[in-house]
Amino acid sequence: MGRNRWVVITVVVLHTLLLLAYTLPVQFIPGMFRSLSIAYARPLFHQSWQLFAPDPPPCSCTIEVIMNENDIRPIDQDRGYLEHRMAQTIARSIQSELAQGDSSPRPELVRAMKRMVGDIERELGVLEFQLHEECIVDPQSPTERIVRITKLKTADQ
Amino acid sequence: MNVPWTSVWLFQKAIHLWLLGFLFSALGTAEWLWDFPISPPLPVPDKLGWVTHFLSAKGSQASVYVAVLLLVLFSLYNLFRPVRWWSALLVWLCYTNLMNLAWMAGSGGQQLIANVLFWNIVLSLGRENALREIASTSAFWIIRLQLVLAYFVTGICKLTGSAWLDGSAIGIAVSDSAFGPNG
Repeated sequence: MGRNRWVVITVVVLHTLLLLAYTLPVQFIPGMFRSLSIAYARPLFHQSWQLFAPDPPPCSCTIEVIMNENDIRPIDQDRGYLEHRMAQTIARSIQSELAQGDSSPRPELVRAMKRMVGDIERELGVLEFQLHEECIVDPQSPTERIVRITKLKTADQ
Repeated sequence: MNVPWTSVWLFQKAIHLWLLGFLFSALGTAEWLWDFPISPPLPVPDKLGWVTHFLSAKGSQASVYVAVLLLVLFSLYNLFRPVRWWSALLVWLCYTNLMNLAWMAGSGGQQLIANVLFWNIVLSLGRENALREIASTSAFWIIRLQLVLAYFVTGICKLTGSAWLDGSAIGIAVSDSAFGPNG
C-alpha cells in the first residue's frame, strides 16, 4: 500500500465529510458546504438517519377504513410488514398535511390509500376513511393518550 | 489499512443472502410494491438520478419484471461465484430502482443496503493493479465508516430535540402503537 495509503485516506475522509454534511442537522453545517454535499450525495448516496429525532412523534397515527358504523378497521389489517410500512408512510404524510392546514390529503395519497383497500371497495362500493391519532398529553406519562379522529375528504378524488 | 479479504468475501456472501431473503419476504406484496405500485412516482433528483429512479419515473411493467428477475439471478450468482464488478453493478442498479419504485415501503435499513451495494461494485475490483487496490481499499473503509456514520448522525440529531435529553423519548416511542408492543 505504502504511498497509496494517503490517497485512500483522502478519498475516504472526503466522502465521509460530505455524507456528514448531508445527514447532520442543518444548523450544524455551513450553507455552502451543505449545498455541495446535496449535489454529491443526493443522486447516488441519499440517506436519512432521523429515527425518532429530534423527538419521537407525539401522536401515533393510523388510516382507517369505515366499512359501517360498527366495523372500522386499519387499512393494513392482517397484512404483512411491508404493507404496514406503506400504511404508516401514508398515515404520517396525511397527518403532516392536515397539521399544516390542508383540508384534504393530496390526490396521490388518496389513490395510494384506496389501492390498499381496493378489494373491499370493489365489493362494497365507495368507502370513507379517517385518520385515527392517539396523542400524548404529558410526556412523563406517555401511555395516557387522547384519541383524535379526523374524517378524510376523499370522495371526489 | 490492510483489508481482510476473507472477511470481505464473507461479507459479500452475507449481503447477497440478505438480498435473496428480502426478495422472498417481499414476494407476497410484489403486486403493491412493483407490479401496480402503491407508491406515487418519485421526482428524479437530477440527470444522474435517472440511474436510480428510472423504474419509478418511466419503467414499464415488463422492465419491472426484468429488474426483479435480474436481481434474483445475479444475487444467486454473487452468492455462489466470486463477485465481479459488473455483477455487483447489475445488483445495485436493480435493487435501488426497485427500492425507489416502492419507496413507501422503504426504511433506513434499505437505504443502508443500497449504499453498501454501490460500494460493493468498487470493492469487487480486487487488487490486480495499484489503481484497483486503491479503489477497493477505499470502498472497504467507506462501507465500515458508513455504519459508524449512521449511528453517529442519529445520535447527534437526537440532541437537537428535548425528549431525548429529558428522558421521556423511549416511553413515547414504545407507547406508540406503530412501534411499541401494542402495535
